[in-house]
Amino acid sequence: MRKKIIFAISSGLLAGVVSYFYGDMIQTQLVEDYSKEVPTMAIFISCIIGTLLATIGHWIFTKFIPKLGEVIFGIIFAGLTTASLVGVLGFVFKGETTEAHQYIFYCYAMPMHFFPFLAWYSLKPLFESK
Amino acid sequence: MKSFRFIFILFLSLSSYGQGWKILETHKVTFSNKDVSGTFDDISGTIVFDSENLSTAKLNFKLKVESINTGNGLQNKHARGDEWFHAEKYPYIEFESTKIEKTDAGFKAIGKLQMHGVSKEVTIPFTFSKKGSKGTFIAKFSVNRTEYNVGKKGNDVADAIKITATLPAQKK
Repeated sequence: MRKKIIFAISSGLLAGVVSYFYGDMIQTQLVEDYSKEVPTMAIFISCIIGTLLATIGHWIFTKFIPKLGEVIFGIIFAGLTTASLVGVLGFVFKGETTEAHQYIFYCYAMPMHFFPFLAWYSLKPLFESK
Repeated sequence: MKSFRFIFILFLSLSSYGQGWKILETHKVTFSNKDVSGTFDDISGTIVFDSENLSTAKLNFKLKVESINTGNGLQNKHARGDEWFHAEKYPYIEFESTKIEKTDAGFKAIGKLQMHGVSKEVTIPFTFSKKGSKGTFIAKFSVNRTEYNVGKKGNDVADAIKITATLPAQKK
């Protein structure tokens, strides 16, 4: 169990770090600032929550459906990650914002939604029990 | 003496015409209901208004549909599309007053509101506060979007949309 928690948190942290640098690069290159709407702490917290939930889901699926659990979990994880993009598309900025600010937000936030998925699968081999 | 009389008559006729106001850049036109909210960032028009002489008052406004801003890029594009405002075909929402009257709360402008190719007579209540050579017109009213064929009836957005226009203006 301890190993799983370390795995969940470390993959969440990795996703958070990658998201932070990706976000920083987009904001610098496209001269936009989303720090008000998406604080750095929120990025890290949501990444860690995402990978924690993924770890719990993976444990449930592989425990109760030993043969197909791994595959079903992978499909569901990918599906939910993609579905979470709806949140980005529907995001409404409060106050005065330019349309460029609203559109650039899509290329700022959408890739970030995939980072927990990628980080989780990247670190998974390191924490797998032999 | 003749020219003095001419200037005097000209002055009298100009002053009886009413006070012209120029809308300042800090204007704000917002719309909202429980489902959607946003602003129209581009408004132009002419204001002739003297609270002491309402018979000469006139309010004409033009809102550029393209300037709609809901805070979401995709929603903006959708709002400008043919299902909603059809900005390409109907680029402006226009109001032209025919009569301005005093009310207990302030004033009301009666006139034609044209939107999405439909023109209807509406009454817009508003207040006016003056400070030196500047003044602020604030109008709050509701529009039923389905009466103007804006969006489909019974879709995700409620029919009644509350409009608030805050127009700071400077005496011309």
